Amino acid sequence: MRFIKVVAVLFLKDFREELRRKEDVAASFLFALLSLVLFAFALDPTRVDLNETGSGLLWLVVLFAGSLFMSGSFRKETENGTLYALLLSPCDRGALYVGKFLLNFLFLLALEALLLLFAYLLLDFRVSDGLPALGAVWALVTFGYAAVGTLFSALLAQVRGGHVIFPILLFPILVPLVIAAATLTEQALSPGFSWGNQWLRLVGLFDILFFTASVFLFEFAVEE
Amino acid sequence: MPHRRWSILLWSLALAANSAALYMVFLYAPVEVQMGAVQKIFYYHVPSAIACYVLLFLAFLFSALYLWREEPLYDHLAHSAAEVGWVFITLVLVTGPIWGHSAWGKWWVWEPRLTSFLILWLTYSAYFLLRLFSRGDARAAKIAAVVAIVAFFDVPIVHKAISWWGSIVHPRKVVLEPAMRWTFFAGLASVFLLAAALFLTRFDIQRAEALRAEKEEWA
Amino acid sequence: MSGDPLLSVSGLSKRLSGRAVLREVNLNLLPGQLTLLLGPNGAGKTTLTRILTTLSRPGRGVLTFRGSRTTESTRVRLRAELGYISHQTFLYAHLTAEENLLFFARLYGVPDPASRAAALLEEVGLAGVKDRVVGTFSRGMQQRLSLARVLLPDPSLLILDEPYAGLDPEGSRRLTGLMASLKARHRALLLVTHEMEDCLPIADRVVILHRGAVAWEGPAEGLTVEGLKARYFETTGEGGPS
Repeated sequence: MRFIKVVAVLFLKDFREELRRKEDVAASFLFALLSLVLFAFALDPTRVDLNETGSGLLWLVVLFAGSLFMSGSFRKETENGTLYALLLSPCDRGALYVGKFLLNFLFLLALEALLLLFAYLLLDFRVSDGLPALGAVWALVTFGYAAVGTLFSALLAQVRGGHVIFPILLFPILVPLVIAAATLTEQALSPGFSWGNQWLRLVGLFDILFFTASVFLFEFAVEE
Repeated sequence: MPHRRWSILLWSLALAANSAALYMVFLYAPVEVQMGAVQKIFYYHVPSAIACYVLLFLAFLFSALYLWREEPLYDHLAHSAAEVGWVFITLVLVTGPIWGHSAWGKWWVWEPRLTSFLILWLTYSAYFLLRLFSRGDARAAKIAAVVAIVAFFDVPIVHKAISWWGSIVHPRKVVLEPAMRWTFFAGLASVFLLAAALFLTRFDIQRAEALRAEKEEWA
Repeated sequence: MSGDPLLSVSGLSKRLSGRAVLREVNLNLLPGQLTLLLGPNGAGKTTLTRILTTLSRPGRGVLTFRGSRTTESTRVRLRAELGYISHQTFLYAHLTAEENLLFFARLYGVPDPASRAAALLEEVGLAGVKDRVVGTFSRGMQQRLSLARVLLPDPSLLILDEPYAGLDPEGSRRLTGLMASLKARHRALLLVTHEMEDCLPIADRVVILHRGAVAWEGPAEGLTVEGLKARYFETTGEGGPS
């Protein structure tokens, strides 16, 4: 289908551009690591068991470092007017959104994987058997995060100081995801995780609602 | 001012209603047995919360209309509704703790309803920050409209999530004797009239500002 | 050269932030014709261009493409046949020249993107540097690649927004030559510019926009640069283009 093909073309372009560009990905990864270290200092890991308080904390790091990356997602496209070029093309607006969304989604997943690795190395945060459940839960939450984040990135791409208001605008909307992420992480790491639990359904609802709304509202976010 | 007569009418009614309501609150409604005099905040606290939801819904509605029609009128309406809504959210967040302090012994407890309103306050404060940052941008209205729509969709989800998360008791059904019921309705009417008066005034100011900015540009 | 307009607006009005930016504008772009759009800053040229390129919705009035009023689907078809050039390069700095062209070719659904991209690289003289990242190109090279990019889908309609800005005499000559050859191939051209010397010889119509309305419109035939400047001053009261 043409739509999927266009999404693929857009995604591959972005993927290649990010890989060559390096600075945005690197900055975000480094910021995540830095935040983790700062949290360790602030909380004194020798006295605090990260396995108990860890769940929510890691998500905060994902939130901050992820938003650092996503806030520039569409702003980058205004550098040489490429956003204009994309909007002037016969490319479906929805495809434009989905392409960027996929890039952000995959980036966040990579960020989270890296974070889990360093949480294990530095703070002895063990995941072991809970990994599949944790992975699924985090992927589900990340989906919603990327969906709204991508929309807001487009919305603020040309606003003066957009980088600054991006997190302030985005985070209150994500509160349900943050609560869900913290709760579900804890649940995923303890035995007897139920796949039918209400938090998963809430996140699922959030994802579907906001992804659909974003695809629809994207047009308004980018038109003049 | 365009809606001068309506404005005067609404403000007079609001003033009258609020005076009557305050009289009823302090001198007519009985003092509640368990919580004492502080409970009387309820008569403004709960109506304010209801007014919030109505105003935020209006902000959502006008924003959607703006996206559809691109008429500046809808933008002014949405902006005014969101702003007055924000004022009432603030009112809820102020009256809530005052009421709660007597029951809780501290100024804030992370109980569901109040916490939801805190998130609402943060969301719509961000809306105004956005308006500030995007002043002068031709697309400012459109961007704000999208945010207002997303924010409104989030409201029920935030409520659900927070109510599952926090479990401390919010004074539930306060049993209302007739005298209290009347006072409650007086409070409700007062708050709504006040909201309407504020809304109309704010809307007029919005439009006047927009007209003035237009004139300055052509000058 | 004559015939039905490819793209036209009639009775076009637009308000921005409550202010009337365009008033009852009529404009026809015919195949094989180059229309010059002049006007002082704030006349509404940018808004008009945005509407013609479907980036903005008309307020009142009709945008017609190939004889049909634009709906969402005709807008997409318009974009498929539209090329837009401005001072921005519309290129991805971290991708190579070839990668940039391949991307846009695929985006536009150009058949056999690889050979089309190669052909255009050859035409603008950048085949030798196709594997170099665009960020390392000089401005002149970027402009040439930009042109190649626009020509990928072989657009039937081109809108050029101040394309002469920053071009050296060689570049200006090449641009004028390109526009002439596009005209010869029955492409419709709209040129928004302040530089008249270079393009007046090949222009067919001149439109002067002032305060959102068409202040003057007429054939370019017989107009000299001085004559046009005088006309411009008459209608807008301003010093005019260089």
